[in-house]
Amino acid sequence: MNRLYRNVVTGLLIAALALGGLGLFLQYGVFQGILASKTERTNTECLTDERVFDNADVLTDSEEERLRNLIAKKEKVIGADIVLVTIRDSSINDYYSIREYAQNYYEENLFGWNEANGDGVIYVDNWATGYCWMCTTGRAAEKLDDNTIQYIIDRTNDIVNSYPFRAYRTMVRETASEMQNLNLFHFHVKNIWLLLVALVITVAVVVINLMNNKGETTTNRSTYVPEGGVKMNERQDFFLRSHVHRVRIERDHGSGGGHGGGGAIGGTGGHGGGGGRH
Amino acid sequence: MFYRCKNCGGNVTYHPEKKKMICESCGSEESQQMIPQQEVHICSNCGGVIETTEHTLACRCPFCQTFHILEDQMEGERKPQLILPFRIGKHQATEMLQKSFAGKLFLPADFCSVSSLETMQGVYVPFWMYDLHSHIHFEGEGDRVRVWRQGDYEYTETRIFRIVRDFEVDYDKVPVDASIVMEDDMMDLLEPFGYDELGDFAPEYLSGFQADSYEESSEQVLLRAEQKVDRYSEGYLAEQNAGYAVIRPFSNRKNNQVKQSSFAFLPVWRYIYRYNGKDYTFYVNGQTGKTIGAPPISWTRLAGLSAGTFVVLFFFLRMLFYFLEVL
Repeated sequence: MNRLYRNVVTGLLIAALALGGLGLFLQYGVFQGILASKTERTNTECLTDERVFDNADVLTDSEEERLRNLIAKKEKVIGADIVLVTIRDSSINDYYSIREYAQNYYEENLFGWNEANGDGVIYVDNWATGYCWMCTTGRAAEKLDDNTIQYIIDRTNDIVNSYPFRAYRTMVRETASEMQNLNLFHFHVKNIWLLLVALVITVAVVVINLMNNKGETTTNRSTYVPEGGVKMNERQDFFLRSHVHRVRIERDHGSGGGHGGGGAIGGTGGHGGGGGRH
Repeated sequence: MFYRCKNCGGNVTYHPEKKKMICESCGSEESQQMIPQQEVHICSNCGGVIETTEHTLACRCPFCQTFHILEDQMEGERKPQLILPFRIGKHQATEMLQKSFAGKLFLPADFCSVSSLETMQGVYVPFWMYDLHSHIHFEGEGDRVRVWRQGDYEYTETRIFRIVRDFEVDYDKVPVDASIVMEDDMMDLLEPFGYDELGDFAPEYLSGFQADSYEESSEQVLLRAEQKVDRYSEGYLAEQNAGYAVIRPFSNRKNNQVKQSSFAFLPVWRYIYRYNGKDYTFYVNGQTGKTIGAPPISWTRLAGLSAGTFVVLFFFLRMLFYFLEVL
């Protein structure tokens, strides 16, 4: 096998293992390990221990239980409440009303890790209209800015219609990760795109290696000509005529306007963001 | 005839690395004694029948492995005038072949293996070498174009010239292979040969190699030589017409005059690799080491390596993006 190919493959494998190992170490060893919240929940006023309110009935009992367990685990790591509410209410059909609903829900139940209406996140998803909203307070508001919230909502909405449980599990995990990590990048590349990129590179490697030329011509016009072998008898360039062609330069006067940025909407003293999945 | 060692009676052959005649049995240098051919196509060493074609000039006895040079094939017009001895030995040639294809991924496992490379043969290929005098006369029109901007306008000035070019080129020893067995395009790709060691023909250089006399006459392959030099002359013409954006030729005459043609032997190592019932031929220039030939593709290896590459790439990308997502 080609030595260069072997070295490249070995290098890629080592790099992949190193990146994966480092990623695991950072995620579970540092961000959710060393840097995990050490504070116990001190909110004694909260009206309920429940965190999963599946009013829209999109989750099975076992799925709800699994989400509860996951939330309980992640809450301890991040030191903030995570509340999931699904509803089926056709009257909540804009961002303002769902935001209000979310804020009220959080405040009425007195959620919060450190105190009533303290550190925490609430995610409300309306299955009747497709609107959803995430509100943050306290530490969660400091850590999760609007872009981060939008990223979490987008990732959740990617699959929520087909796989509600997986979508909400992603929401909980991403919320916990984003609370703990460095927040350097907000993206998630789906495997299908990575498969496509890998396929394109593989095809390119195969095609390059299949180019099967027999050899290259290495002679040129002077190969068989001795020194002084070219004798110029006549070389003349007579000017005959000229003409000038003039074209007006088209200038681009138009300039497209950019999209307006979304401002932060104050929730319960924090950030918020919503999305639709109509 | 063949060359017998005075010391041990072994077969003396030409060794490219040492540039000497060396006995294959005892290693004596320049100990050769020429044993003439006694009967046509009968080995003077063992008496075995040597199977040849009408063009065979140097070959090996299939029974005693002695290298023979058939004198009867070198008489009259068939006598070679020039020979370029091998500079690269078989060992070097195999190394060069292996090096040339070391980068290929989809070769069969035994391609260029030591055992298969044992079949590599040194062959003196018959060539006609032409000394040609070319006279090129060109007339035409050419456009020189200048573009600039001023204000809101772009200006394009086209100046038209009448061009006259008349020049002569002397080409020395343009080689064209005179063998039907050797593919013309492959022999052309093997060039250039490096003529520093080109000299008068001496039969000693053939000992240890195979050689066939020419199968095509000088007149038959002259056209190929002229086509070659016409291409080179076009290169000189293009160089002289540099600076013109467009050329419209009115007349482009090339007259080639043969000053001399010589029958010469040029050294080539030939390796035939058989794969899936098909022969793949590779050549190594016996002077410069240039290697040519299109290797076969192992579809099993292609499938395996493609799948492996795909999996490794995907794994790497997944881990890379996982790491970035964690951050």
